[in-house]
Amino acid sequence: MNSNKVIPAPHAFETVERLRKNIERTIRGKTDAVDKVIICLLARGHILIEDLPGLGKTTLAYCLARSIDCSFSRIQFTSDMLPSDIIGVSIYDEREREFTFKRGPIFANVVLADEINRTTPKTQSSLLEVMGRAKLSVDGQTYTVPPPFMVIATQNPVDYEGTFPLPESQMDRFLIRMDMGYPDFENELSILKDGHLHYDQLDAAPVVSKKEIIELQAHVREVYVEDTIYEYIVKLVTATREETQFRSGVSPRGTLSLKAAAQARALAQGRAFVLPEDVATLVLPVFGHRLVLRKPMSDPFEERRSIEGLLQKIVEVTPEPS
Amino acid sequence: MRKKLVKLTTEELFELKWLTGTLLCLLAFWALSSLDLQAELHILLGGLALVIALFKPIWVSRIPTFFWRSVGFFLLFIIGADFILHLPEFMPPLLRMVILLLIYRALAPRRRREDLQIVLLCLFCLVISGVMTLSLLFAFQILLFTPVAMGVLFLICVLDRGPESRQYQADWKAFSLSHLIGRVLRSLDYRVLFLGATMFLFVVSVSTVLFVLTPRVDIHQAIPYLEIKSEAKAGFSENVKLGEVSEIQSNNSVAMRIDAPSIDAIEGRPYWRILTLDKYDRGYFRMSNALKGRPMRAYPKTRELMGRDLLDGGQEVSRRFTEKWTFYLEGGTSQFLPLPGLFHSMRFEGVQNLAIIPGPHHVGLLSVQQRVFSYQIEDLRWTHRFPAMADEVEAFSSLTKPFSAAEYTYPLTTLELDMSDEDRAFLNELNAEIKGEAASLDVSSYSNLLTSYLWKSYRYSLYPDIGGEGEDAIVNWLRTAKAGHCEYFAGSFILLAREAGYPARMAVGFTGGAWNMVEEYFVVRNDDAHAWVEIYDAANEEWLRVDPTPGSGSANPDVIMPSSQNFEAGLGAWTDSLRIQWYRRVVNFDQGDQLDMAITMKDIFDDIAGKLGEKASDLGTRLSVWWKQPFSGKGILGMALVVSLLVAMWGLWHARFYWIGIFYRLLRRPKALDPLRLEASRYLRKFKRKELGGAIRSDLQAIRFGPPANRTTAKAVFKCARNALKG
Repeated sequence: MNSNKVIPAPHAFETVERLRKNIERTIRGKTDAVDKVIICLLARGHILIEDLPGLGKTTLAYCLARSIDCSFSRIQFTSDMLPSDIIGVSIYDEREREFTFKRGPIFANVVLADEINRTTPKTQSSLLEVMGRAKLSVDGQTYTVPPPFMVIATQNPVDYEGTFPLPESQMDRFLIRMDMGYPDFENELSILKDGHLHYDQLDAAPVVSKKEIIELQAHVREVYVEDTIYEYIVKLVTATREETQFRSGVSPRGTLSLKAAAQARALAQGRAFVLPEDVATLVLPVFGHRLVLRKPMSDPFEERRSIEGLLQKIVEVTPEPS
Repeated sequence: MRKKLVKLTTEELFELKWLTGTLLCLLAFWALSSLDLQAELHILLGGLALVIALFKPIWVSRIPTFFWRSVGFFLLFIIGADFILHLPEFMPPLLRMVILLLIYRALAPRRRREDLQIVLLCLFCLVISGVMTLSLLFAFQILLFTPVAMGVLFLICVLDRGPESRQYQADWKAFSLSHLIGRVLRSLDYRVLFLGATMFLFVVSVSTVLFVLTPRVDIHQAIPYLEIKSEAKAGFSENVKLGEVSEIQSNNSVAMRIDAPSIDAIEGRPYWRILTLDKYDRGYFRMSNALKGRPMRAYPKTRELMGRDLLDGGQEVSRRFTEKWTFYLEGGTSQFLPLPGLFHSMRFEGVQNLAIIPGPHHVGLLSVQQRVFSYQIEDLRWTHRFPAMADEVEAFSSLTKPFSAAEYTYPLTTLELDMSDEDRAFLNELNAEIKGEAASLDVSSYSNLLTSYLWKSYRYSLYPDIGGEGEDAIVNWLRTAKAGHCEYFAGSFILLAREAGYPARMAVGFTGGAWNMVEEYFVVRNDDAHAWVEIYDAANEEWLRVDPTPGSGSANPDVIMPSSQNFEAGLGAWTDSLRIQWYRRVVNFDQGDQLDMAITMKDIFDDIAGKLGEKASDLGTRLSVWWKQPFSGKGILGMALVVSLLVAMWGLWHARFYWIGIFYRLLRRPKALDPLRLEASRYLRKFKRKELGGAIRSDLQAIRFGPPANRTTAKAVFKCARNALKG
C-alpha cells in the first residue's frame, strides 16, 4: 500500500507491542486499560483514571514512564496545595543576584496527578493549563514542558467528602477517562506471589526510546481517515447532542479527540487508516466524561453507568459505514 | 449528496391508509357518476365530504363514535325505503345503497375489516359502471384502481400487528397533507418504485391476456335486471315537437361511430335515417298509434336480422357484397337504430329483443340503451327511395285527398291535415303559386318546385324568427318568418305536399359526419342531427327522400349531388380513435372475432420470433462464409473490426473502475462513491456474513477505509477475495 511508505505502520505495531508487553509484565490482566493508556500517549492526550485506591493506577503510570525511558513525577494533591507546588517557583539567587526558576514536578514526561479532586480549583486549573498547551508562563518567562508530555490524573469516585469535583470544562481536557477494575483470580494470585509493594521496586526496563514515541506521535496525525469515517464520527456526536437525556452534547473538542484517539488506536494496531470499529470502541472512553445527565443522580456510579448505557445505545443504532 | 431515505412512522402509515381509502372511494364515485342513476345529489355531496376528508381529516375524526352508530340505523332505514319505493327497479336503489355505504365507510372510523370492505365496494362500483357503459373510461379507472388498491392492501398488511393494531386510529393532531406526501415521496426508494412498477405491469399484462382469451358473456342476457332505463334524445323519439331535433344539434358530442369498409363506401352526403314520423299533430310530428303497435310492428327475438324481414313483401335482398359495416351507437341516443338504407343482413352482439317496423324500415330496441350499442350490417346500400308497403300502395291509389279528421289510421295519416280551414286555404294558395300553370305534376317535379320555392323564400337559421300568433306553428312560420331550421323546412314541405295530395312523412336522423384519419372510421356527432322528408311516389310505389333544407344538395330529389367528405385529424381525432379501438376489442359479434384476435396475437408473436430466428441464421451463414474465406478484402476488414471491438471491450472492462468512477463523479460526490471503495465494501459485507477474516479482509479494509488505493493492487485483492468467498 502507498500509505505504508509514509507511515511505517508494521513498525509502529511492533513498537507498541513491545511497550504493551513490558507494561503487562507488571500490570497483569488489564490489557484494556493498558491499551487505553498507550492510545492516550500516542494521541498526545491526558488520561483520567477514576477508581478506588490500590488498584494499580500509580503502578501503571510508573511502568509507562519507565518503559518509554521517560522522567516520571508524582504529585499527590491535597487541599492546601498551591499552584507553585506544581509548576515551580522563582527564587532569588544571592550569588547571581537574580531570580532563578526552580522547576516544579510538572516538568517531567509522565506526570501522575494523584487524587486531583482533593485540591482547590486554583491549583487544578494551573495543572490543566499546562495540560492544554504543554507550556507554562512564570514571571513573564515561557517554559516548555519536554515532549512527550502526558498527565495521568486519578480520582476516587466514591469518597467525595472534602473534594472539589472537576468542572465539566476541565473534564473536557482529558482525552480518555477510564477505570481500572479489580484483577481477576489468576492475576491476583500471581500478584500475590510476586510480593512487590512499591512501584520503585519494580524492574521495568526501558524498551522504547523517547524518540520513537515522539515519532509515533507524529505519525498518528497522518493516519488516514476516510470520508465515511468522518461522517460516522459526526453522526455519533450529533446523536449525543440530540439525545434528550443529556444536558448537552459533546463539544467539537470531543469530536477532535475521538478522531485523534481513533487514529492512535489504528496506528497501535499497525494500520495506516482508521476503521469504523476504532471509532466505535473509543466512543465510551472518549465521550463518557464529557456528558452529564439532565436529571443528576445521587450515586456517581449509577450516573456513570446510565451515561455509558446511553452511549452504548447510540453506538448500536448509528449505522457503521461498511 | 445521496438522498436520505425516510422511515414512515406507524402514525403516518395509518394516515396514509386512511387517505388512500378515501381516494379509492373518490375513484368509485367518479365511475358511478357516468351512470344515469338519479343519484347526482348523493354523488355530489358524498364527493364533497370525501374531498373534505382528504384535506381536513381532523374535522372528520372529531365526530364522536356514537354518532356513526346511530347514523348506521338511520342509513338502514333510508336504504330500505329506497328499495321499497322503487320496487320494480332493482339496480338504481342498489347502487344508491352502495354510494351511501361508501360515504359511511369513508367517513366513519375504519379498522382492517372496514378497509377491506372499501376495496370491495369500490371494485364493485367500477365493475358495475364498466359493464353498464362499456366506456373506455372503465379501462382507465381500473388502471388507476389497481395500484391504489394494491397500496391499501399493502398498508393493511404492514399495519396488521395483532389485535391491538387493528383497533388503532390515527390521531391527526399534527397532520399536514403536503408534509405527509413529502415524507412518503422521500421514503420511496428507486428499488421500491421499480418493484411496484414491475408488479403493476405484470398484473396488467396478465389481465390483458386473460381479457383477450376469456369467452365473452353477454352480461345483460345473463343478468337481465342489470339494465338501467335511459331516455332517448327527444328529437329521436316517436314523438317530436318542433325544434327538438335542432336542440340535439347544440350538442357536439359523438353520437355514433361507424367502421366502414372504406371511405369510398360512404356516400358524399350520407343520411343516417333513424325514424320516420307519419302523423302531424299541431306542431308535433308523431309516429301514429297504428305504427306503434301490432300488427304493423313485429317483436322478434333474434341475433341476426335479414334485410327481407324489414320489407313488406318479404322479398329477398340479394347479397352483392360481403362488406361489413359496424355501427357503435352511443348510449342514450335513440331507441331506434340509424339505418341508411336497405341491407342484406344485420347482426347483434347477443340475442336481442327487437321492435321492427317493416313498412318505414325501422329497427328499434325495446328500450333506450345506456351503454354503447353495436350492430353489424352486411351489404349496406345507400337508399333514397324506400319501397312502399302493399297496403300503402292500395290506400293511396284510391284516395289522394288530404284528410282533416283524426280517426284515420296509417297509412292515411301521411295525408292528414288537421287544421283550421283558414290555414288550409293559405296552404292551398301557396300551392297554387308554386305549381303555377301545371295541372298535375309527378312527385319529383313537384318536390323540385316546392323545394326551390322554399329556398327562395326562406333562409336557414338555427334560431327561427317567428312573429304572429297563428294556431298552427308551421303555417304561422310560413306566413311570417324569413328564416328557420330544418324542421320548419321539412314540416312546411310536408304540409304543402299533403295539401297538394302527395302523402309525405318526416324522417329524422343524422346527415353528414366526418372521417377519422387516425383509425379510419366514420364519426357522426349529435350536431349532425337533421330532419328531412319522404314523399310518396305513386308511379314507382316508393318513398322518395327529399331534403328541403337549404344547403343540403340539389332541389331535385332524383339528382344526388356529390359532396366532399369532412375529415377529422389531430389530437381530438386521436383521443376519439382510442374509443373505437376499445369498442373493436370489447364488442364481439361472435366467438370467431375473438378467436381472430387471439390468432392475430399469436401470429404477431410468431412473426417476431420467426424474424429473429431468420436474422440469427442469416448471421450464422455469413459468419460461416467469412470463416471459410477470412482473407478476402471484406474479410480482413471485418476481422480487424471484430478484433478492435474485442480489444475495446476488454479495455473498457479492464478500466471499468475508472469509468464508473468518472460516472459517479459526474453524478454524485466523488470520494464516498469511489468505485473501488464500493467494491471493497461489497466484499467486506460478504466476508462479514460468512464470518471470514484474515489478511484478505485487512487488505479489503485498507481499500475501503485507507488512502486511495492503486487499481492494480485493488484488483488483485478483489480476486483473492473472490477466491476466498468461493471457499
